[in-house]
Amino acid sequence: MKECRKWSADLTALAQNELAGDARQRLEEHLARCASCSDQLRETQELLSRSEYLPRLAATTAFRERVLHSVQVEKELKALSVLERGRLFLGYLAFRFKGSGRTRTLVYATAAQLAVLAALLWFSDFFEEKDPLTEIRSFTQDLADQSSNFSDRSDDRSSGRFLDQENESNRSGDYPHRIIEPFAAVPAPPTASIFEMSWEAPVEDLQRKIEQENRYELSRYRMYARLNIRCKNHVRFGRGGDDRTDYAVGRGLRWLHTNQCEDGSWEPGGINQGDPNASVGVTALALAAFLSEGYTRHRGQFAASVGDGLHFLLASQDPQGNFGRIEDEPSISLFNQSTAVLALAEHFILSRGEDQEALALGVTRLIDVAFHKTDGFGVRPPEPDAYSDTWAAMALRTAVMTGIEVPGLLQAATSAEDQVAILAEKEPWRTVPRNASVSTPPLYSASEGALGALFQEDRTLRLKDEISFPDRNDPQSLFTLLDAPDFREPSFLFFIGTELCEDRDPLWGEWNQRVKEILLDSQQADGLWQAEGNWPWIDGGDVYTTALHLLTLQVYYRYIKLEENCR
Amino acid sequence: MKPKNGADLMLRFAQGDESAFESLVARYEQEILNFFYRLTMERHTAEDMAQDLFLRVYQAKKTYQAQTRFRYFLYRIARNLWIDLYRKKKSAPSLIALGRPDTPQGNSDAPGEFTDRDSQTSPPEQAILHENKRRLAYYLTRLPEKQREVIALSMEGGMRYAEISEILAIPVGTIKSRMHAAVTMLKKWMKGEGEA
Repeated sequence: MKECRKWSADLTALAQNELAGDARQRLEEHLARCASCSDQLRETQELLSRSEYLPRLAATTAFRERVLHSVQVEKELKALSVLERGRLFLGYLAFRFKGSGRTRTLVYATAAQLAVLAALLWFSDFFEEKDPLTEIRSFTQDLADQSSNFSDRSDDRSSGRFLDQENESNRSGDYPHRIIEPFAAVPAPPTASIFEMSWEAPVEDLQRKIEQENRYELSRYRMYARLNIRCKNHVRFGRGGDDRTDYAVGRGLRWLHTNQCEDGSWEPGGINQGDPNASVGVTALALAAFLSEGYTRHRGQFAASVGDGLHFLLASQDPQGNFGRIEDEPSISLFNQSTAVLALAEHFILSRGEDQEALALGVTRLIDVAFHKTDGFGVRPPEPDAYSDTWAAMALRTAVMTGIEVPGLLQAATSAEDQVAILAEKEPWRTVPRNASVSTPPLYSASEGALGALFQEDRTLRLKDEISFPDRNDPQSLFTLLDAPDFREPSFLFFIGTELCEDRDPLWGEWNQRVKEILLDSQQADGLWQAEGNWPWIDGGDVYTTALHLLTLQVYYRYIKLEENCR
Repeated sequence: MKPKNGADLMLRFAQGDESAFESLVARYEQEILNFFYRLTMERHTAEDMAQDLFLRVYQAKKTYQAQTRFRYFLYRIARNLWIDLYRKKKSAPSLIALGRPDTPQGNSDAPGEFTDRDSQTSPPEQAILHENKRRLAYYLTRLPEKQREVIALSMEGGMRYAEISEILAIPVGTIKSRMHAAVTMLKKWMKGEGEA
């Protein structure tokens, strides 16, 4: 007990990842022997994790207006005090020289006083001596009274850019033609269409709707866990996550938040450093990490980051719907387009329908770029790039989940999944049968593309010389991928983890345990995962790596089964 | 494109670029608001203090020198405002009613507030969950001033011990012990031991 007392402060520091080096090692050795201290650590971690869900405020447009108005008042008061001082000085001069015969001076001084007086009358509101803060507060009270009439989804707030006049047309709600209004503002009665069901509806009601309505529209509710804390905790712990993964995700998101550029983008690293076009894909991935936690531009402590990131993506879209410029290397364009559509689609679902027009345009363009009616799906048919194709398949499937009506979307999504599944059909240890029917959970097939990429001769030739490759006939050989840092490409960990977790694959338990430990150990104290490994064709830098590792640790609750019990 | 950090923006503002000040407000308003909200759990007070803070930042235009990170500069101002308020009040902030959180519409699903949409649970479970959240928020405001500011800087500012130490100009060891004392007290109160 006496020994335990000396560790108590260190336990708190360890829970916040503030302990390092020898001190950490000694404490961890002690924890391995002491159940009581382990319990204390767990209690501390639980308490601190609970703080993530405390009520928080979102900065409203009214608040920002108030701040800027107070600054304006400050400027005017300063100007006024200068005039006041001038007036007093001229008054003194007039008094001083009134008897000296310097009539001209007196006249000039009087004229100046009159001019100053006129200026003061112009600012007659400030004539009385007032405490500036009192005045500001009475003004802002008026503003607050007015703002109570603002709607929940006012255009100003949804834009996230109060003073950005150049991108007025990108503000949500400005589009003249809404195709569908999928969500009602209030919870609808149980007999309502699935489009009108509230996020607060019990899962049993959703399940009943499965029998009645189109499954694609229902699948958006697979993101339910992102908005329901109890459900999220249930699936996270049930699928192999824990408080440590929760902490790691929190730290990683915080790192992303503090490293966001002023324009809302995130800077790509590696070979793409300094290329603004490469920011599109990396920004979309960073946004996906925030969206996995249910943060939207109106919701949660990182709402501002999400809003700024979405603003950047929307601003990067051209009238044809391309996100970023068209690259000579089509796989880059497809990656940018796919990840941007993925992010917008997820936000569309979580925010109940924002930025619909931009999303529809982006999806249409993605289909044009990636879906070839004669040659099939893919960036360079008949020789597809499995990496880009997988992202495209994920984006299209998520677009289907939104329920928006875009011609050819369902066909494109199905074709995309067929294509990436074909790549992996060669692998006998893939246990999920390819199933492109509507009952296929959205991402089973999409992640198989990554596996196919590992075994394509032309892409693995270099690596084969350096390391013995997994045996295609031995499923356990999958784990040799984790042994060498060069094989732990972030998107592979995400794709494979998604497939194994979604499918409840027998390999999932061991895979999750090993990947979890690798990621938790390699995360730096400030939340960053540094890019490592030697991937010549995928070199996204620190933001790319961090975003994808976050998505990997969020895989437990990004999607749930609709029959999942979240109680 | 290099990130424009707060110091860059402040220096641009000092050189006469008013839009840089607006960018500063946009960049930091959310976290500053929530820092004050964590300390006071009163929306209007938090907004008033955040407004005062940005006004002080505006007034510091001519005297600001980028000798330290801008966030440290910002949080020092925030901390000074908080101390002024704390000394004026000289008592703990008001109790939060256990019926509803402090929101403008008095609604737990008020826009802009991240709350637990937990209608999946039974009403008694839901009530317990909400009550625990409010109890934690309330107990945070009952912590002594020095512990409260350390917790708030960590929770809302996302600061490491070393950063908090620089802002408050006290050793890291002191931060560590204050944090530990705060967490110990919170755990005790949440278990129902002792009086807050």
